[in-house]
Amino acid sequence: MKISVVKNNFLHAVSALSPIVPTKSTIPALYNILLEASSDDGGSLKLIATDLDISLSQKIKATVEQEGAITITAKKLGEILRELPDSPVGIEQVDEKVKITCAKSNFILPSLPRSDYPVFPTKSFEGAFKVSNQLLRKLVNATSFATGRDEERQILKGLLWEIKPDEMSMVSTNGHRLAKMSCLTELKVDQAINVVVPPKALEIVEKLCTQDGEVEVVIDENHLGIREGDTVIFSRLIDGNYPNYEQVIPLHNKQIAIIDSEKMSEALRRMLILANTVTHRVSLKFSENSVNLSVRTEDLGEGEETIDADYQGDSLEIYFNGSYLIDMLKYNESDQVKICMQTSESGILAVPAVENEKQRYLNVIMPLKVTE
Amino acid sequence: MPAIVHIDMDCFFVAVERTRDPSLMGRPVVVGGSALGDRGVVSSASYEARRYGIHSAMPIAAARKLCPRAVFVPGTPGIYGKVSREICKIFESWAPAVEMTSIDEAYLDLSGCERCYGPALGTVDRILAEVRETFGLDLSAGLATNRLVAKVASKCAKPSGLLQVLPGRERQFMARLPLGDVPGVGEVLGRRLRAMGLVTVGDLQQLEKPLLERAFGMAGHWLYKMARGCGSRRVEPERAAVKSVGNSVTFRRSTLDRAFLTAVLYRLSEKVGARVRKKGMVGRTVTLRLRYSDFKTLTRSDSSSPGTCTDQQIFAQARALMVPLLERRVRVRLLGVTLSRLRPADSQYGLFTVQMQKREERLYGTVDSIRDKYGFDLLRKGPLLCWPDNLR
Repeated sequence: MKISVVKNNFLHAVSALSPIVPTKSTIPALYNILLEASSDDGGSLKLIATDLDISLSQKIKATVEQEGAITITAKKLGEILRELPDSPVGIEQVDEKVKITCAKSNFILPSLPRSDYPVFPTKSFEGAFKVSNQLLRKLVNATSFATGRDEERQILKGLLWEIKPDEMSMVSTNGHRLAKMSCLTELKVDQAINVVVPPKALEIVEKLCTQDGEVEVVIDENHLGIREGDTVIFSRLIDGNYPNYEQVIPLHNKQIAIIDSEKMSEALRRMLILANTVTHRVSLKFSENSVNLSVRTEDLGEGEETIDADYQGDSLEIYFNGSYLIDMLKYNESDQVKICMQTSESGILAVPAVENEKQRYLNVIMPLKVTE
Repeated sequence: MPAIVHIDMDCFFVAVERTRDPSLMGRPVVVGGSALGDRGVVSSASYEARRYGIHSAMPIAAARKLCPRAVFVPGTPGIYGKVSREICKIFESWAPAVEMTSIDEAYLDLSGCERCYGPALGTVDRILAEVRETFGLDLSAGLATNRLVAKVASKCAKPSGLLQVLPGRERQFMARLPLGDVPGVGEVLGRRLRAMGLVTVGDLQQLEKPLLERAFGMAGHWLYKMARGCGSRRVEPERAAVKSVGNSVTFRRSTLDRAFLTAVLYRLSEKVGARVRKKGMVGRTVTLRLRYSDFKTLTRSDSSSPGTCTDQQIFAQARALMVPLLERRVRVRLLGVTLSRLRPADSQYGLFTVQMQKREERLYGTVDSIRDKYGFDLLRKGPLLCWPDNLR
């Protein structure tokens, strides 16, 4: 293989692939990215990275003198590219090594043959449906924060993606809180599809597809494929039954408070400074037209603050993990949040105070026990 | 240069008893068992008693046969822990990191303290002198560049000595050591090493790493490093704070009766559960300890749950650990259940588990309060209705 590429294009592609390259793996080839040079379409270089759960490929233009494929350490390649001047970069296979040249710099890096690189299942995009980038970004952004990060239950680490011909939703929960966003849209799908996707895959899509446009999506029993231009991502789906989340959404909570999102968020951030670092326990005491936030932690101290709230119900005190409330407020697009409660030991429903016909967003947050 | 110290208090329980009753000085003394009879085991034996072949964990009755004229002291509850904590305070006044690994053993990290105190060897000597003067207790210490070598050195320094292994001489120092004396080489591993014709650490040093790893797997990697005197340098004070809650019982007559053993296990799980709940904690690791009538003792652990404090869960895990051990068809003399890796109980309600959480809270809250008021035995679960009197 012998090719030449524009440095910035190459660096951009390698950087896009780097989140996929695992930091720890028993398969040495996975620390590498696969480079495939082809003279078709006037010459191109395809870069592929995989961690065996997700694979990402990007194609850039290249001047191809000799076709071929090699693998090369992603980390060192990225570090070298970042330091190179803006000149064309030459890549040449020399025996079992790769020579990289740029202006007056030369590097020789070890390489592994293409045959050592795992083949990740790919799928044709025939019959794929299209989704707007903006919509996908919005759904991922508003829900992926609530997935379980180190849960024992694998399924909770995923994002539930519900696709219907006229609506698309994403749901996430870590077992303590839940976030769901649904948007009305028109999709070319014959029937409803429900899949559980590793959030990493969608977060990568969200980062890569920053331009306004559309991505093509194809889903089968075990895999998800997303393509935008020359970028293609495939991901395994998480196997298992997603818990029946609809039954835990408290739709009939009677005690309702409407609070300014920003004021509440600011007050919570102040309270969290003195909260327990594990439980992040903050007390919310609702009484007529106000809510009193307070925190009290042994050895750290105590704090309290009262903010205005539109509340006419019985007085009610609930303890929460304050960071869950802050997350909820961050993605709640409306200026005011509507919090629907029942008792101090049952979950609350939080929705934007102003309803939007085309998009529905909700959070359910479970309280902390009253006694500690 | 790392300076790790291992300090071991010589015959700790006996030494403490001697400070309380000086007439015990110079006589063979055995601490352990109960005041009522010969049930129980030796907790600590003085050097005079050890000459008769008495050692820790030996049944009191056997010890009495070996040396009938020894003084048998049942032990004073609470006093040893109190003395140990006081000694720990002295260690902490000198060393930036102190890890008490048991009531009578500690690791100190004196790395970098040369600037304040001068050479580490002199510092250790001063620490030992302070404990001797304050409590009248003898200690042995080993000073080396890591925990393993320091521990071996303190053992070599016994009684009442101090031994430093100079940096770079660890391999040479370890070479003469019989493999059976290396901390971490247990009965099973020792037997396998002997079967390969290996007697001392020096013999082990002749073997290549790949061979050891093929023969012993992960343990092979450790053996290779151990033989060269390499070991961990970490002294973690908080590790000492990790507590566990355990209960065990020795039977009057050893038994193989499964129903009885299961009932006992349930009862032990209840006791452990109640104590952990009182502390407001949950634990990750359930450990079962079982001693057969031939004194072979096995421990088995299970850390599969994220954290529990319910009797039912502790019992279910302990039983799963016990069942395979009964296959040996040897009567059981002692059973113990321990819950460790404790952390404060989760105060968060779960979206999908809230109903169960509340039910368990109500149930155990009621059970615990009734037992607090009227005694533990007032409430018994089904498996315990056949409660036999083969206890204590």
